[in-house]
Amino acid sequence: MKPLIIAGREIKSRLFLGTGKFPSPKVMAEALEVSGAEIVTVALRRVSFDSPDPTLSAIDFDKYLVLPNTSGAKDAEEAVRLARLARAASGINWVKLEVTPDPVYLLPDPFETLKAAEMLVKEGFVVLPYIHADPVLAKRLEDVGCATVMPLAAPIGSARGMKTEEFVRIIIEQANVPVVVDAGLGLPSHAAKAIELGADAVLVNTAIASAEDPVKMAKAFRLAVESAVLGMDAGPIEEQEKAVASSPLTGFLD
Amino acid sequence: MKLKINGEIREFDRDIKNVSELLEALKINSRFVAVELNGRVIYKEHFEHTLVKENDKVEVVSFVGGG
Repeated sequence: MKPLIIAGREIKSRLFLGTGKFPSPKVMAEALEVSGAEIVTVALRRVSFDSPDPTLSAIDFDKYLVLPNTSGAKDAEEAVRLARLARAASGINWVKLEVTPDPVYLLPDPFETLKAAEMLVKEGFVVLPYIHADPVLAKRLEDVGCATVMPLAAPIGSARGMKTEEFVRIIIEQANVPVVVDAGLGLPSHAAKAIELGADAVLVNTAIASAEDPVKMAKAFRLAVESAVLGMDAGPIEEQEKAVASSPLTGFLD
Repeated sequence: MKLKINGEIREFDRDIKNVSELLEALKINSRFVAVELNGRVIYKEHFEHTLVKENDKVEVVSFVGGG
């Protein structure tokens, strides 16, 4: 596979991790370590003065490329506001743009996402938008200067795997920016499938964080992604309609 | 002094002059914190000389786990 380069930076690990929903900061830190991830996402929220979120102190900002998201944004204006605040808080100008007004399926709003992407790119952000697997939208986002596109496999946290396979395939075929499959992956094999389709990376959160043993699951996802990358590099054979014998067809007994 | 912070009214028994003092009074470490004062993002380098006045609306945000 060709190297994964986002905004001029080479990313070796094709597994990105979300940091939500882990049972404890300690387990999260261990899972991040075991996953081999370089890019980890975080959300931005009001500080709770009485009980501050302990997750933050368990994330090593020197070790990981921390990617703030705009979760909670219901329109472009809110997303831009969150991105600006995230940049002010951290100095990080990368942003995972998500605009999800629908509370049931958390599907991203394409119009508001495109609008926000345009504004953020102009303000110098490296924008990684979370989108439905819509090849036309992916092209539009690429055209306005997004650094990647991140189509969903299935609704966030649904663990249903590559439901959008046919459309992710088209996005990959047409994209000139890296394609990161984000959301809906539940099993290591789902992540492998995404890589085998030609995705440059996958982003996983709930499947790892909410597993019975998140650290073990992080390792499983790492191995699945590495295995798929290795398989793709090894040059897979082509599918055939009919059987192609793998044993010699001569020298049979009478 | 009264301020609206993260949606709640808070009373301070002394005057808070600027954003730095406010974070101190709230016992917040300013690393990885962003402040919005009356809807305007205040950058860290301006915390000390951005003045806070009675009834200002302040948002103090930081990172939490998220996907």
